[in-house]
Parts: sequence; C-alpha cells; structure tokens
Amino acid sequence: MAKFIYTVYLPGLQKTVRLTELPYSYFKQLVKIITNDDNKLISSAFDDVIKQHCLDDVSHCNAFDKVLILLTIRAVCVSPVLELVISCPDTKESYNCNVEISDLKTKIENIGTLTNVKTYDLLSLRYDVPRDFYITDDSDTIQTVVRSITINNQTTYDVEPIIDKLPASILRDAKEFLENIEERLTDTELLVFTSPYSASADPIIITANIFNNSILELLKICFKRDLMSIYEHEYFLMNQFRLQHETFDRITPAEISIYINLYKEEVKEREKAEKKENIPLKSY
Amino acid sequence: MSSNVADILKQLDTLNQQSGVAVYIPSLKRTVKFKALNLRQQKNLLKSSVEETLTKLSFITNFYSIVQENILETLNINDLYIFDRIAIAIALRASSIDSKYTIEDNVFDLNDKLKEIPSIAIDIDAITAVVDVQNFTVALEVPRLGVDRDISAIVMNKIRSSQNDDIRTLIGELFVHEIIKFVKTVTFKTETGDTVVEFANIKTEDRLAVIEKFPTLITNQILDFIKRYRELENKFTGLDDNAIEIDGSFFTI
Repeated sequence: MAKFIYTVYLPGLQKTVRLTELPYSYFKQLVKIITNDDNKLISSAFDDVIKQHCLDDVSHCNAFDKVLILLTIRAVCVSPVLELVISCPDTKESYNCNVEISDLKTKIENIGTLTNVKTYDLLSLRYDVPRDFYITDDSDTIQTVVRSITINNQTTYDVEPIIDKLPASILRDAKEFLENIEERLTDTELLVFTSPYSASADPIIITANIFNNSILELLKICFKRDLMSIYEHEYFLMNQFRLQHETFDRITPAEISIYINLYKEEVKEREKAEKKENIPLKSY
Repeated sequence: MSSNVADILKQLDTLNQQSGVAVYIPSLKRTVKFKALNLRQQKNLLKSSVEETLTKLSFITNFYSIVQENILETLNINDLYIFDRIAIAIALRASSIDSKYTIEDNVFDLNDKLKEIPSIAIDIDAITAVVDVQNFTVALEVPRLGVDRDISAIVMNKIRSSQNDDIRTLIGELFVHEIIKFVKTVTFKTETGDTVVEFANIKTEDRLAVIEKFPTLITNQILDFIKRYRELENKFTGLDDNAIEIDGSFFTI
C-alpha cells in the first residue's frame, strides 16, 4: 500500500522534502522524553523524529529548516492549531491561546537565508545558523556556525575534526556572523502572549534566538502533552473499540483525535435522541 | 576520519606553512618565519586569560608551546629571550587575529609597533649583569624562554596544588620564583677556592635554597637589574603613554 506522504519547502536547503506520518506510539515516546525535561535528550529526540520521518537527505540543513520539518509534522499529524493555557505573570490567572502552526511556519520562513560565505585565500568557509537546537554554554559556538569548509575545491561538512586547525584569522568574521544573527534572531518574535488580566504584566515572548535555546523551548511547547491523557486515550480506544496496541504504530495522533471526536459526536447524538424519546406526550 | 577530512587537514597544514608570518627576533637581529595562530591555539590563550591569579604563568607555558609548534625554522627556542616573546606575540596577534589593538578607547595599529621593534637598542647591561657582594658573585641574565617556561610551570603547579590561598603567600611565591629566573650562576668564594653553581643544572628547590642565603644587598641589586630590564621591556610594549599587556587577554577580540 502506498504511504501517505506530504512535503515542506526548506529555505535553508532550498529544496522541498518529503515527510511520512508520525505514528501515535512514536509521539508518545517523544512526549515521555519531553516530560523528562533533559534538553540534550529532547534535542536528539527531535533529530530522530526528522531522521525517521523525512524521506530525503537533510543532514546538512540548519536548525530553522529542521524546525519547519517538525512544525509541518506537528500540523499534519497532531493538530494544525497549538492550544495553550497561559498563566498571567501578575495575577496567576489562566487564559487560553490558540496559535496556528502555519503562522509560526511563516514567521520562520520569513527569517530567510542567513548563510554567508567568506574566502581566505584558498580557504573558504560557509557560515550558517547552527544545526543543533540545543546550544550549551560549553558548546564551541564558532563550530556551531561553520557549516562547511572548502579548500582547493574540496568541501567537507565534517567540520569538527578540522575547526581547531583553521587559522585564527577567521575568528573575527565568525564572531561578527554570530553577533549579527543573534541580534537578528532575538528581534524575531515567534510567539507573543499578552495577558488579558494585567496591563502592566510584561508579555511572554519566545524569540527565534537559537543561542538561548528559545527554539528548543518552542518545539517543546508544540509537542508537549499531558502524558496521562495519552494513556487515557489509548486505554479508551483499546477498551471501547477493541483496538490492538499495534494499531497505534500505524495511526497518527490527529487520527486518534478524529476517532475520539467522532465517538463523542455519536454519543451526543444518541443522548439527544434518547432525550427526545423520553419527552412525555402532552395530553389535551 | 574520512579521506576527505584527512586531505583537507593536510592541505590546511600546507597552507599554514606557506602563509607564514615573518617575525623580527630582537636577540637574533633577523626575521624568523612562524605559522599563523590557529583556532585551537587562540582558544588555549583565551583559557589562560580566565585563570585569574595564574594568568601570566599559564600564558607563558601556553605561548611557549605555540612558539615551538609554529616556528618554521630549525632553531632552539630555549635560546630566545623573554623580550623576543613580546615581538613574536605582537606579530602573531597582528597577523592572525587583528592588527588593531584598543587600550581605554584608544585604537593602535600593532603594525606600527612591529616596524619600531628592529630599531630598539638592546643594551648588554640591560640583559646581563654581575653582582659582587661579600663572598658571593651572582651572574644575572634576562630569562630565556625555556627557563621562563620551566619555572612558570613549577610555580603554577605549586599554586594550583596549594591549599593556602593567602594572597601574601601567593605573592611571596611569585616573587622568589621571579628572582630565580634571572639568576644564571652563583659563585661562592672561599679560602679553598671558588664554587660555581649553574642554576640551569640544579633543581628549583635547590635554587630557592641558594637565594634564601643571599644577603639583602644582593637581592636589592637583583631587583635593580630586573627593574632595568623592565625599562627595556617597556620599549617593546609601550604605545604612547600606554603599554600592551602581553598575556592571554591580548589575544581576545
């Protein structure tokens, strides 16, 4: 049987890539990892989602291309709307916020290409947004932005074993590139939540700054779920419809939601009909 | 490692050698070629600038390794003097990182300093001296790079492993080890003859034991010599009324 395939255009790689569906069981594993709150593991779990569900080679894409892949998977396989409950920083009252994943994708697409190629005699370096979502304090920040090294027409993307041998003269350009993109990304607001309960409360802002892990936080928000509700759904579907556990390896969270909503509609209709039947006839 | 990476590393090495930096070495009165700094070396220098109390010591040992690794000529670097290191550091900083250097909002071009260095006169009195007091004759010499590195490494390990973080003890250690660096030989004159102790041939602990026996008069004359040498050194580091601080922080941008 042909697999359902959908696509996303990646501005960094300048190509459209094909994606497969994220099964419910895979989604559950991801939610577990996010709940465990270890950023290093979460970051590699997102990388694994991409590796397992992208049919094309994206090994050289930058973090924003990867975010676009993940948001597309989120929109198609989980829900196109991000439903959030926000707590007002001043009054602590909660309010609901819905964000269209497509709006988020547009904001990321609008960041555009930040690549910069610098040539130093026979050596040429391509600087780009980092590939990783999770940048630690001890990360070699220069290494995170050097995407490829070309010397005498030979290019490698395997930067790590070479970076230390590069002339220190590249440092100024690398630092300048880092400062420029950090400034630009800090100015790019992806999510802004203003409390309806307090005019003085500072809005909650998530920017595109990859260097302070803002992007990883955004992804966590997009994929986070109450783990218990996942088990409840599974239990309900297995109990009510006798679904086999293996079924969850084949259907997406979005499809599970459709089944549950259909069931809810059905119950509602049934209750309505029962109510109608039980209305006593008026006697004149 | 893929063959592509190995190949690129090889080509980078060739490129680094071809684009060598010509550095004027004051004690040799000629230029010597060095490879430019690479990122690892620059990072190590930066690391040495954050080790606060050990800043200078850590820089000395680090920079010694860089000189040894980057020199493109067969030359015993242990014969070079510590003022040669200043010339090398300025040249490598200017060519590998940036020739612009800022001190308190004043921007200097290090290339101007490099042009000036060959004309700095090196008076023999500023780099060697003999102190003759009572039964002692002490031959003094501005430290060579090898001596400076060895003593700095010893004092650095001593401070690192010491539980005592009293600032006076720390300064005391730095002070006596600085004096040791400048002593070349000590001759004890006795009725039966002279005993010459070559400091290069004895352990640091023994050197310390010897200088502890020095009368204050000798110590004061050694300090005078060090002071005279610092005046020479200032000619290499001076920029108008300011001075370049040659340590790890000099290599930050």
